[in-house]
Amino acid sequence: MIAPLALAALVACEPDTPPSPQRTEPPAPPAHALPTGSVTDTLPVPVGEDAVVARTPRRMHVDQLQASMEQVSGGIVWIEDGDVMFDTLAATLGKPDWITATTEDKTPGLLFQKFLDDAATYTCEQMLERESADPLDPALLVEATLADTWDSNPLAIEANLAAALLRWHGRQVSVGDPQLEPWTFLFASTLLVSDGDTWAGWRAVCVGLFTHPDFYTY
Amino acid sequence: MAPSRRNILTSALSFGGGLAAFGGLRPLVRLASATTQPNLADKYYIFCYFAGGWDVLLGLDPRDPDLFTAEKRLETGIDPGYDRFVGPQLYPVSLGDSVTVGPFYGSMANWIDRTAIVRGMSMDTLTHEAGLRRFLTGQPPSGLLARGSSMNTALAAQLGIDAPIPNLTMNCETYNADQPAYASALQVKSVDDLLRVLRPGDFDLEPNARARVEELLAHQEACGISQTSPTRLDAYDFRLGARDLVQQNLDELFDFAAGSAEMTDLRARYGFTGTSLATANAAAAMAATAITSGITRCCSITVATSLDTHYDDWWRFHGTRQQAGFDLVAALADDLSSREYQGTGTSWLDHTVIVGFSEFSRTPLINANTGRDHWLGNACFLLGGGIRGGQVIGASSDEGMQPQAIDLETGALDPAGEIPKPEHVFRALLDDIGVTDDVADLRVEPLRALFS
Repeated sequence: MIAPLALAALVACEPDTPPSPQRTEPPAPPAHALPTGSVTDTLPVPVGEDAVVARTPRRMHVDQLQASMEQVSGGIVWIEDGDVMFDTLAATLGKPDWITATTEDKTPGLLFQKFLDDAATYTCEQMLERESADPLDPALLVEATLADTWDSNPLAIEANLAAALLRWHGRQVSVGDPQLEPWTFLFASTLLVSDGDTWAGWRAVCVGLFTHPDFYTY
Repeated sequence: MAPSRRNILTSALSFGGGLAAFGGLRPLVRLASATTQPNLADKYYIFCYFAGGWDVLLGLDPRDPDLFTAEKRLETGIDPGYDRFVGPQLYPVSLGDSVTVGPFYGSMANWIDRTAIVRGMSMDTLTHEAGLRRFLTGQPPSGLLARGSSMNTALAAQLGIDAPIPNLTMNCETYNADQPAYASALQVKSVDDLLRVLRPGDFDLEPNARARVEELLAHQEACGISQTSPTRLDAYDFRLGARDLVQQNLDELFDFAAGSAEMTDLRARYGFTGTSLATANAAAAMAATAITSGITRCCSITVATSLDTHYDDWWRFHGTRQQAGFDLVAALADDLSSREYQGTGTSWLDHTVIVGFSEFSRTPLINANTGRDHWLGNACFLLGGGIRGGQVIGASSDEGMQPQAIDLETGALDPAGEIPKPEHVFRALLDDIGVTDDVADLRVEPLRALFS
């Protein structure tokens, strides 16, 4: 039942989408949506038809990925059984040890994808647990709460998705922008298949943002 | 129906109409199109790396210590050094009429009828990294950087995408410079790593939510910048592959720490415990399991380490370390030969080629520190499926163990022939499965003497 919904709701590719005025003249970013730390030193780069692609994207190396996930999540470290997994898996993920390996393989390979997904699902679960217990300094639920649904507060949900897109991917979009539609569909369709569980909806959005190449390539 | 990526892709394509509507079909078509690669033979490969530069005088290319004495070493440039080891005088071991091996060849002697040894090879380098990459790719590295794809990758590309993991390595380098992405090796450092890849994460999404995320990523992959970026296209293919693996419930096959009778037997056969899953022994068990369960076509493992013995560690440890590697390969051959190949009456060993190699060998003379340094010459062995066993191809010279030219068709010494190099072996492996084009840009003829 969901597949036809997916077909109906998913929007066309961005190149076919008429450029929105916000792309050429981006508004000032909302201060609350910016993560703290050094990444705030650079404003988001406008993305759209005016953007010039200078080279093919590169995958982050493992240290960059680890730092980025911690930064975006507000300091959550991927830990299993007391071990920091990015350290445990460093050699497997191709991080050089400067003894036997001096270069890092930055292929976004199968192993990388699996562990990125594991890291994302862990981190997103931890983010939601933290923010449901202490909503004062949120990283994910910035504009919406777990109580907000499409029926009760659609604007808050769209605003939250826009804030998340800025925080995770550095893409500045406003509410109503077509670029938000895949993400609104992800949230809405996940609610649909999880009996309106907003936790599941935001968790799916969070995992999608982390595992999207806009997050781990630059 | 046996698990395979093709099965998964076929089922994925059955609802491809839906995916196509938002652009998600293309990557599946791209993956599935790989099945048009010729599936040329029921052949499997295990590459066994002896790390650090092995001493071929102790194994693959021995000399009689009564002829190559210490007194003659300035004349011959060769000192077998067998008298340096503690215990009774060591001698080469004769295996049949035509093959003699060193005193640390171990249980591999049992498989000499299925083994071809290539001697007198040239590596053209004395640097570990360059030698290893030279052997793996059959091409001289550019500095230390590998050029070309490694043998496992090129073979996996030819053998197609049917296996869930076409190419698997544990603690062994691998390269993909010019082959399809599906042929890139899954590189793990331990069996635990492999289990992590095959199992869902502890915090995985609920299946319906997972499906929604995958739909979004498929849609995004089909759009905009992704279509102009090989990195992003590959990333999405790899993501699909990772999801495929998790869905196939293959992890139980590699749960080597389990207490079942099957796993207990496996651990005993290969000599490891449930807590030593990053060892060479566990790697060999992983290779056998992955091959015989149809999960992979090419597997590369390191079977011996710490062979770079420039000092007294040469006579203290080199022989036993090298023999441990040979014994492990023999255990692998024992295992494969004991398992029937898909109800054909033949064994898995009949269909699996085991290639044993090191980056180079060690100097034929012992240095001032009672060890051996790096040597340009080398040897290697091939065992199993289709190999013309019980033969030695080529020879190092009796003065300084220099590489010598051979006839590539017969393997006999021939001054008008070519010095054997890794690329001749590489090309022969491809030639054996009917790949006559130089798909790996090796620019040599195959060493056809290797195969029956």
